[in-house]
Amino acid sequence: MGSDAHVVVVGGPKSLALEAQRRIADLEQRWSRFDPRSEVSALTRYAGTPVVVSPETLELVERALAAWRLTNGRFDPTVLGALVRAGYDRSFDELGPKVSGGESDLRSGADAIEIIANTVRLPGNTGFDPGGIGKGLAADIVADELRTEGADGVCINLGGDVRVEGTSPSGGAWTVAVEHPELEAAFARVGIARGAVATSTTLRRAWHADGEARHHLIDPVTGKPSTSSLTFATVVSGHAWMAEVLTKAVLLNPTSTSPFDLVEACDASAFAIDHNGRVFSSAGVDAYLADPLPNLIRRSVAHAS
Amino acid sequence: MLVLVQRVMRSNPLNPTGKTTTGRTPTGSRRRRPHPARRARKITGSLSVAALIALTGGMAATATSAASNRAAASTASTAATQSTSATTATTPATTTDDSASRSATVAAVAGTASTQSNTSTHAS
Repeated sequence: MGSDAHVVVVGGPKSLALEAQRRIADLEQRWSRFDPRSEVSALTRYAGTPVVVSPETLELVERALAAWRLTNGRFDPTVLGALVRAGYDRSFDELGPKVSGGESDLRSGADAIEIIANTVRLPGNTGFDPGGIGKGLAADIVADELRTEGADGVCINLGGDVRVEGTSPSGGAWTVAVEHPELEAAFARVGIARGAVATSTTLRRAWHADGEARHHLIDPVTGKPSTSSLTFATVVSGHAWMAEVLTKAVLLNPTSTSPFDLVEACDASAFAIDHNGRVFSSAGVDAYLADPLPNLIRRSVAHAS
Repeated sequence: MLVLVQRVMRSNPLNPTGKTTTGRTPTGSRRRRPHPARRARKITGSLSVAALIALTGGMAATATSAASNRAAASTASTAATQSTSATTATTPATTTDDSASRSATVAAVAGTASTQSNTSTHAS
């Protein structure tokens, strides 16, 4: 998943912390598009043919399609070809600051993905990229499993997709700090008893290719990195996979006057920041925040990528 | 991928010191030694019960195994049929995922944030 992980396990058997580590590695092995042996890579490699997958990968594809339907295509798990053409053709750690646009004839086609029994069939010449939903769903799966196995409380943070359940180490709710890549310190603190917080931005995982600034968030409508005025979004929801999907829906919302329509319809809460640093928030988000949000974010560190 | 794992132990309210205690054998009264035949009768009885449980358990396991084999065969047969139909289908056959739809309406539960954060969400 190309991200760091932070796991907190409160109480329960001693083995749970190591079990969490093992399980995260297991899911990454199944879902990494950069690992040619992964099940996700197999889906793309054998596009056009039913591929037998594990229950975990079946759930991943089901969630991705549910997100595609829910967001009316704003979240699209089949923009892999567009990502590669934008230059994101290898793990971000291996991507230099300036790359050439990659070549790929893969096209999108989420509407024609077939799930039958334990098989998934992509339409021919289509690529599957779970993107952030893989991190979110992995956090959900691991958190639920640890709770089932006896943990009093868990916090699973996979690259900024955070899922918490049960009691925190202090015995109360969990506190999740929200960091912005252009600020030295966290600018918000979310208090959450159970549920998830996820953040997405176009300010990180960004690079230059063919003389253009590019980032990882592909707009499925244009097939190119989005040019939305919003550059940062944080969503609080019941599950991490859903929070992750909703951040993409906010950032890619074509109506900048009401970017939170889907968030509020899903009983979630969110806030977002545009390229001028202006902060916007959905109804109900104040219930989660330790302090009121600032109206404006002023850059305090050099642009990070 | 770097995985940072923290394990937090909760203190036991019944034994806050965490020290273990050892049982002490009462020495004030003398116990009467049971007749050796009594122990033999107990062992024989226990073995009979264990044998009965093992026998019925084995029969149940055999029946379950047979049932699952039949179920597996049935599933495989269904999958093969569906796989054949999938290659000729002209319309998408994506399944409707009810659990995903339900998840969309699950809200997080707000709690009071403390000054010390447990983790951070940093956009990636």
